Amino acid sequence: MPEQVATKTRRLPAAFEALFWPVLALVLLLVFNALFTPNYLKVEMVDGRLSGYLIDIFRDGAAVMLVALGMTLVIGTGGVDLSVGAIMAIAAVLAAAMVTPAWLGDTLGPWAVDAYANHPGAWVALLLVVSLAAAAVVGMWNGLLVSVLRVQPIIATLILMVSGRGLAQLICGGQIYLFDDEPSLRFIGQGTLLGLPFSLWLVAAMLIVTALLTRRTALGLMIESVGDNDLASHYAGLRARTIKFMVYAFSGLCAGVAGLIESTNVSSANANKIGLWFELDAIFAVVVGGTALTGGRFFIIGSVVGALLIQTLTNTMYVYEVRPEVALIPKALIILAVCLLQSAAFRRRVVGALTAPFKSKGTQGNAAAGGAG
Amino acid sequence: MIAALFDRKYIPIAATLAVLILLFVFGAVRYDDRNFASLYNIVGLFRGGAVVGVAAIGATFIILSGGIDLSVGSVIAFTTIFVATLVSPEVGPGWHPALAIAAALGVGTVFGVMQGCFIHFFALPPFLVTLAGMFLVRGLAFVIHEQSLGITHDFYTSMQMAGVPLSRGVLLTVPVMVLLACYALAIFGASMLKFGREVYAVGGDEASARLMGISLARVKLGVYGLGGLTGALAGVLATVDMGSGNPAEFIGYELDAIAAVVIGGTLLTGGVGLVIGSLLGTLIIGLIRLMIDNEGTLSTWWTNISTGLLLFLFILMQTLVVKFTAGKGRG
Repeated sequence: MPEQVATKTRRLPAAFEALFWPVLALVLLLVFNALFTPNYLKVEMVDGRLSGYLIDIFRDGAAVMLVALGMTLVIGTGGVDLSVGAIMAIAAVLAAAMVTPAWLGDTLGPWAVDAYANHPGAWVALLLVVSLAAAAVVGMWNGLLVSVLRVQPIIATLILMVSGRGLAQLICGGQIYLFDDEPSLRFIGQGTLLGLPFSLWLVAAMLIVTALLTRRTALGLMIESVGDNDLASHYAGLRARTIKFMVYAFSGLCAGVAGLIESTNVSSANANKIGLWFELDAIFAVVVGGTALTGGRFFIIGSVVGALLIQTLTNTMYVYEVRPEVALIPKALIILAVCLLQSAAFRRRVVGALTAPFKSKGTQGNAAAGGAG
Repeated sequence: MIAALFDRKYIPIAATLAVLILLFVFGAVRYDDRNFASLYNIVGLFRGGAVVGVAAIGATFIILSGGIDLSVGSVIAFTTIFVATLVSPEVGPGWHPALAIAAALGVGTVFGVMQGCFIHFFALPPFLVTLAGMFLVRGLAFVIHEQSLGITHDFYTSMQMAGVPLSRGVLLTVPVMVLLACYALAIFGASMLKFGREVYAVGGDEASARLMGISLARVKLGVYGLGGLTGALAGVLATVDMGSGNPAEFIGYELDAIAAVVIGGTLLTGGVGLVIGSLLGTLIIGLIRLMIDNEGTLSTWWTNISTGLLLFLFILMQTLVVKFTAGKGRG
């Protein structure tokens, strides 16, 4: 491939190019809001915490950013994870159930009720470990199906997308448990640390750790290699299966943390609501951020920008009181449009046809494709 | 003739049939006191499976061609509320149901063909296009009407009452007859028509199919159009069944349809499978739900879990079968 020679010297411009459109879209959306919503850009200190529309975007977008982080690595290996919403529900429901004495008594026995009453701090720590471990294990199940049984990622994760929600309902027996009596858990979704939402610090920590692990070690290169060609990677000595297995486990873990953030933010864990329709937001964030669905290249910062873009879009629609279900329409249209712009076939067919009269060579589709957006 | 029965092509379908019969016998023995093996229950399986069964026809062709359709649950929900709104004189124009149904089938088909266009002409992954389609159509359904809307029309009442009586209290209802008729047509189409053979060819090996001169555009647009049509028809059957439309219903039906296809022995990689298998798959899913109902102690969420488990088991079986038969003879 001739482009590969050029990639090395054009590394920075390539990253810049990938970030350019999502950042531009984000800025345009913010400008639109700034013009039509009073005080949109105003950030002020209230009771020791920053507040304002912009802070809301970060706070509400914490879960999407996390799920998109896991999804980025999965898509980087050429897969996809449709089960993230269900995994969020499982983690959230498990955490909420474990601080509900009635559930503890019925499911685990009186010892658990006593343990929670006597050592609430240790119990909360335990339940965090348990619910996140459960999320990771569910992710590993996906990884097992994809890497060992070689089921297509769409189907493997679709099984959990539907069954996982059933599993979450099974855990809580169809009940909706609340976090009302456990302020330490509510802190995850609602708390403030150094003026910023605690969830944001959590996301930042996970982002930085993941970025360092993938970009300062060979791990990121391995993931991209597996996404590009897993057979060739295998012959080159990479443990392609292990890498695939791990990205799904990691995606599960990210979804688990996101589920805790999302549920503690609203103080309740409804198995039917937590994480519903989250998979589209996450895929949107990743794809808009410049990670190709075909795998072989991933871009964490791009996914973060993509997540902020989708959250800004969601919050904008909240401002205009659009029903969440109806808000799916513009999201679906935008993701299709972005994928079209990324599709070489689309550029060749449509953009090529449009610009053919003006250009002697049809290879300039890149700039024109952007212009059409 | 006997040799044909042992053709490798029929092994998966034989396995599916065996599972269906075994499950039924198991249910008949275990719930003997509740008259499990009654004609009423058997017809009930077809009645309960009509919506998923019809939707699974389109899914079968799409999967045979090597694609996937995640939008079908939303298409069903959209169709129910679309028809309900068109028929309603209060919130809609008050059309005659026959006209509304025709319109819904048209809209479904056009939507499916559009998905096919995105997939074929712009080379976008089918899961992405149909996932976006799933959300788009779900949103549109809510735009049409926000909540459940009843359908009251003589045409619907007569459709709900009509049917062929099999024995006392057992009626072969309109949805069941539509289901059977659709499968008859689909089986004929898949095995006898040029289009059907082309779908198998494209699913088996797209590059060779193209080199053979098969129009990929025709096949891809055709299967996704068919998927939209059967999805809409499933939605129409759902309105007959429920007597209403609801934009929030039928979440997760895409998995049911895919599960029915896979349980029916169609390979997810495309090119291999039989349409009749999807009907058997639908019946197996229905049978398991019936058994969950009969069990009494298990709650509704077991239906979701059981569908997933069943799908998993059959995928596992397929993987093993493919592994053991690889290298022996063709494909």
